[in-house]
Amino acid sequence: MLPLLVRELAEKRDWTTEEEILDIFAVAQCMPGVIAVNTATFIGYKRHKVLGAIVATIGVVTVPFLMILGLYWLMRYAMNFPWMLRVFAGMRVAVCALIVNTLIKLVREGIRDWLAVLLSVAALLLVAALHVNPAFVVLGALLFGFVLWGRERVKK
Amino acid sequence: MIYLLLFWEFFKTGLLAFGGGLATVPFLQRMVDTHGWMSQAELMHSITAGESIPGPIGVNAATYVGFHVGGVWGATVATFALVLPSVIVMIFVARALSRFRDAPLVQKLFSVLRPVSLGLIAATAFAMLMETVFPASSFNPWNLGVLAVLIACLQIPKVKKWDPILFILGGGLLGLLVPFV
Repeated sequence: MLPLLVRELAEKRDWTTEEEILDIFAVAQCMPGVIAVNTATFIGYKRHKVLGAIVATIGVVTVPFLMILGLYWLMRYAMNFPWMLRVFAGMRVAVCALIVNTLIKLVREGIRDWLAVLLSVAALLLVAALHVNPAFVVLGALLFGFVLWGRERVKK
Repeated sequence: MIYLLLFWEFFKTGLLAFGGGLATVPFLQRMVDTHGWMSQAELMHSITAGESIPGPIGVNAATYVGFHVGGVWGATVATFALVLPSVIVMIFVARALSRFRDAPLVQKLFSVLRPVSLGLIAATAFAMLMETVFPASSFNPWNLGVLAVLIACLQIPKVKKWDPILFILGGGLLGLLVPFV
């Protein structure tokens, strides 16, 4: 999902920036529901208020919806079709390559100082190695940001 | 009535599943058990198949279960109920954020959130990478090789301009033509 969002919305259409997609993504993580849907709703709202949010949401679910309806029987009996499983496996490798590629791009543009390196590595380790729920990681980060803001205010 | 039941179950899931599509799985497991809609094995199988189909896992699973239980209308109700809480909650969040976007506190929070968000994406990428290179916890050098070649291809300026959807379909074709997994 993410590689497509970055490409369609930030690179092709200029509706948003890569930086903002990261913001929205973080917010979408700590809200209930499917992250891709949350992201679409948010961007839709930013462009055209409530109507935009509704249209974007309908847009993001329509294709998977139709695909599942069309492929229901195939999915149910995919185990009986080895070639089908091979197509799925091949698609998965391609998706994996796209995500790694997007990640490289985002790191290049988004990481500017040592604090950012530290924060992103910490989030990665917490989720990938310690299996912490991402929503808690985001909430923790919010708390940390709050403390940083408080300290800066005290200094001033 | 089956549609009301589907709506209620998936609305609850959409409202309470924090952490994205995979967080919906425990809710799905519970509901198919409680109502005897399908076996755990079939649910897991459909989720795995759904992961290889484009689209968010949660939406795919809702459509699948809804269709299984109540046909086309069941699928429609389940999908609608799943995304409804997201739409309501995110509209409020987006409204609040656009109002306070320039406040120093919000700016500070986002400056921390952005790299954390990147880390979370990296965690997703890592999980997918592990699954691709070590499917069923055995090392698969073939997948690793294909993956490396594909990532290298993506660095070529011409390939970069391709539509990602084309790229994914190409991967599917590759899987069809050469022995995979």
